[in-house]
Amino acid sequence: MTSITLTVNGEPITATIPPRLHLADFLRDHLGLTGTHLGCEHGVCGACTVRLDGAIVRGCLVLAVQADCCTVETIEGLSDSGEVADLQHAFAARNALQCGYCTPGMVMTAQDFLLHAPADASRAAIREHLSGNYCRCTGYEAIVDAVETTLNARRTS
Amino acid sequence: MDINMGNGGIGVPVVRRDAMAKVLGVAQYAADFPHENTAYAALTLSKVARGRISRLDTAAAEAVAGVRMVLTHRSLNESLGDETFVMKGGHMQSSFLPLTSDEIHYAGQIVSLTIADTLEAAEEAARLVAIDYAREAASASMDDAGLTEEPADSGIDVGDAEAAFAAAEVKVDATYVTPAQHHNPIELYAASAAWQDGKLLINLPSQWVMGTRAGLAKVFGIPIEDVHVESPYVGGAFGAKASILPHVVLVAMAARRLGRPVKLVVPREAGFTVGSFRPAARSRVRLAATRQGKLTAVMHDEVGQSAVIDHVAFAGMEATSKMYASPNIRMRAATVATDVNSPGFMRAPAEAPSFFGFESAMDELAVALGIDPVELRIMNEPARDPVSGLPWSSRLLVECYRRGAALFGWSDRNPKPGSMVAADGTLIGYGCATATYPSAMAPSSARVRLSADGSCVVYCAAHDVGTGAYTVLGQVAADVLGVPDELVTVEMGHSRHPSGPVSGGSITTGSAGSAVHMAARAVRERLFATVAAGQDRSKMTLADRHVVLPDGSRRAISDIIGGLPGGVIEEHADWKPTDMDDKTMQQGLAGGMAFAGPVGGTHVSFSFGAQFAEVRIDPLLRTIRVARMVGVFACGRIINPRTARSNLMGGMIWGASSALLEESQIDRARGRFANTDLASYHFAANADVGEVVVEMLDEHDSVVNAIGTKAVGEVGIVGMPAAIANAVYHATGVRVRKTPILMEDLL
Ligand code: FES
Ligand code: FES
Repeated sequence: MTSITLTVNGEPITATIPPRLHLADFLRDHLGLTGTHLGCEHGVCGACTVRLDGAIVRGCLVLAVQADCCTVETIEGLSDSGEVADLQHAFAARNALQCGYCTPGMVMTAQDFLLHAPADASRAAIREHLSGNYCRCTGYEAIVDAVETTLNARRTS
Repeated sequence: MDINMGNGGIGVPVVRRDAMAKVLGVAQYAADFPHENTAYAALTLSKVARGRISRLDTAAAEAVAGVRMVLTHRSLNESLGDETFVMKGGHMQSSFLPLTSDEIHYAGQIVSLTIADTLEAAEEAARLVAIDYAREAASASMDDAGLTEEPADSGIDVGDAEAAFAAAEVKVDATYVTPAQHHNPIELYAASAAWQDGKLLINLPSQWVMGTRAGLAKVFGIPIEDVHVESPYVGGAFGAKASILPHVVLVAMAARRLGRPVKLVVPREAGFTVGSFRPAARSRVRLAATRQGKLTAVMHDEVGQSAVIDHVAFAGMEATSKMYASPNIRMRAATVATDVNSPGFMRAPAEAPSFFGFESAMDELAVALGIDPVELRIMNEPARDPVSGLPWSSRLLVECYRRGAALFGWSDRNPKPGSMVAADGTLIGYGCATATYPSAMAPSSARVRLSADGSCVVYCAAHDVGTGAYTVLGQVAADVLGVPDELVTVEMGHSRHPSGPVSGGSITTGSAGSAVHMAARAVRERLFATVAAGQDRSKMTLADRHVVLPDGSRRAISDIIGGLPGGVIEEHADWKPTDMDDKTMQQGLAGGMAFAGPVGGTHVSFSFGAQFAEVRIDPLLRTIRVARMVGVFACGRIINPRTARSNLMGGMIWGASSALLEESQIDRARGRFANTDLASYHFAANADVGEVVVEMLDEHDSVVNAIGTKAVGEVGIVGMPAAIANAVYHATGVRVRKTPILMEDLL
């Protein structure tokens, strides 16, 4: 067992955990933050996307011990802070979710795109950036609509 | 969220009721439910495809710190009892329950279930279960030598198709193959079981909570009421979660034995064999026509992959035989048993593989005749079902083609293969194909409650597997009761609710929706009866939380209901399809599989669509891109255009994915699926998909059911693979008769 100290969604956390525990399981099973989902556990589907020190990572490919002394943000944190309220609203309005299982990871990745994209980013650029997040249902067209809507709204506001 | 303020009735594009829970990450899926003191389970899978376990040693696994139990065929000593395979009238995904014998029937079969205090300990121990096998030769592919085709008991015959084919002026005879595929919903299979006072509570992602309850009650020999199945949110299903998978039973057995809740999340790789899959199929299609393009013979011979442990047959002949007018029709089906886990339902199980061949053959016939493929289909539109002679409840396929062709710009198509080339040399191809899906229905119950504050709650043990049922079922009640959308709540996905049907076969809206409609009307009747006994109820209406009496005066619902004992009006309804007898209905409501249609006593009911694809192919590398897809559908009344559009669009993207990417590859030497993870089982990512356009025609079907809805969930996939293959032919002149269509097929 190893002791780690980190900040999760703004809250300081100290935990004693097995070193082989991955970050997504730590968030889900130890902290009850089940908005982070698991779909493949080997870095392909993107359902487990969280922010680690500001950059998005795959929660299934990061060990919890690697997050020691780091800042972790999950869908719950971004929801509570209101950072992605407009994006979430656009997802709902454009029906960019069906089963919703990919959605938290998709929102995390989409927000990452929106934070870094040029204001005139194309739909193709959105598609490209989101292509590491699978939606099997599959709402790709609607997801691109929602991200594009948010991009345009943020540019004009 | 306030997007929906106002009318939430039928036909309104109401925003999904579950949208906010899902975007905020608070919707609870099966693996998200906490049970106190849960133990975690891990699986060990068979490395061989057939044989017996010759040596089993669990000592090392049991020695891992925190391990509580290692279940194997030696220690289980339980069975399914009388419970069995879903296609034999039971509820299980397979008639074979792993750990009930030392026999190995397929690679990836569960050979032990290890339970520990932590997931990490369970996984470590699962790897330490030592097993030797006495291995026997196995065939996981239906193309292996020495396998025999077993013909189906019945086929379809109209006229004399063989003779007509032999005599025909123009004909096509070709064979098309489609591979095994796996559903791969992003949510992994999971089960979390807890026993209390002899009662079982199980959380799992389910398309059939009532069937799961009935099946588990039978396995454990306990009353149905003592099983609670909870599945409020399902992270994608596509048929994968319609029956009880073996791990669910094993987890419940382990939890009972340990006296402690047990949770298992099935890793992606294991999901390929713990769950079901779409079996491989081969279609020989023979079409004959006059020079003018009138079909004179339609023949379809389908061979599907089945399993040694369970006979599974998904021939699409019921649909392909009804597609076009022909005086002579002959359909046959057969299966080949292989050493695999039992195949199962996957989005349009019969239709998707079958239509790839059938609609490719129609394109080949159009080429042979020199007739436009859209026109060929329109020329052969049948006025009635060519098999039964019954009228359609509704069929706007021609209108779908006309509208789709206009939307797509079909008239720009130069029919000559390879003739349409972009400025940079990219080859452009246009293709089309027909989609159809039967509109079957199953009995369903529902309860609707209207309260004095004007709010309405709908209860039904149906499921929203992403389709939008939470939203749609509420709209049906809101429509009858004039309730604004924000005052509607829908409770589903739990076996404590009034019985709902399996969410499979695109039946939820028509079946559960009809039950909700019936219950809501009963609520309205009671409201009218309460407010004005003796007045003409047919002249009373509901508007804006008021009852409007025949004389135009208004009474507030709050006053009427507020005065009643309990302060609510609540009605339960048991609904059945018109042609179903009461006994079948009761079996269905008790958690049995009970379908009616698509062929009823007086009519035949299918949804239809015309699908178009534009492909762009690199002239040298031969990489294929689907640049555009257009689908126009006639699915009866659309309760919610927003969610229906997403279903159809999702289906079309599935179709594109199937055409170009998806295949569960079989390692024939080892008799197993080879690409059992998401890195090597390819399906469409966002950048694989171009523009998708979906339109739904305004179709009125007064026959199919009281709310006029037909199947929506699966029809979107059906024509797309053929439309894309036909577009590939148009771009290159190369006819590829298999999926996935790969660049090497075009070299
Ligand atoms: S679960 Fe981490 S990428 Fe799929
Ligand atoms: S909404 Fe179901 S996987 Fe994306």
